[in-house]
Amino acid sequence: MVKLKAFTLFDSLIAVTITAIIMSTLSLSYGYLIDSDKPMSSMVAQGELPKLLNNLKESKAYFNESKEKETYRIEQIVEQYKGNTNLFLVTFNVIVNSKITYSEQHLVENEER
Amino acid sequence: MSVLVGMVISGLMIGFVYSIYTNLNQMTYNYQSVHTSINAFNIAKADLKREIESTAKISPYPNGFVLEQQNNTIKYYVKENQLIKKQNAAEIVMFENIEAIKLSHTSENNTEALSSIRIDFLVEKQIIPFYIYAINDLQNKLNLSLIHE
Repeated sequence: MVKLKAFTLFDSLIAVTITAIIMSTLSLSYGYLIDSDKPMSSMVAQGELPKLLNNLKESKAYFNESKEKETYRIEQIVEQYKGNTNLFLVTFNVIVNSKITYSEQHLVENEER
Repeated sequence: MSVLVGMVISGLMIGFVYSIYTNLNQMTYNYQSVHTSINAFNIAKADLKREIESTAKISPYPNGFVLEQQNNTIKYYVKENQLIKKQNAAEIVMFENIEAIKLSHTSENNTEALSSIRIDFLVEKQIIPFYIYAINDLQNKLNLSLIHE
């Protein structure tokens, strides 16, 4: 019967530490990779922005709004542009998983005046 | 016995490394295919945007629309789910998977005057809309030129 050499406690500790370091580095890299990837829903939301802008101009509803969809949320922020009452700065923020993935700004004339 | 144990351990190690390699390879292949689809979509979108910016009039066309520019006329239409761009006699496939193309008219009586166009691109089983609205004022043109600054 062949006997295998047993590891000492110290050897096992080193092996476990090295394995833990490798595993944590790999999972950290994977996490960053997944996090950096912009999801497809962000692209769908970006496609909807021209429609929202056109609706805003047609309805002349110059106020802040938030549109919730299944996979994303679009936040519409309307503010006066540099204090000019004739001009609005409209900001659209695309939010996916509570993170702003895309932002776009437009100058819109105040047609109510 | 020790040789057998060594062989088993080596076999396990080789199997483990091979499975990791196969999985990584599959992931890379999938990623490249997604990347290619998104690239094709972005190219088609950029082309449409560029052509629309220099368009004076947009009119309907069977299964598509016509961009009338100063010295040019470009037809975009859908044929067998493909978005085709026809300029002079040349036809180019701009995108392979188009779900639908919807034209909205300013009034029901006037089918020639368009208010908007919606093109649904099918990218990786996801419908991404692309809207075209008339660019008829200075404000819109300025916004379009400033948007990427």
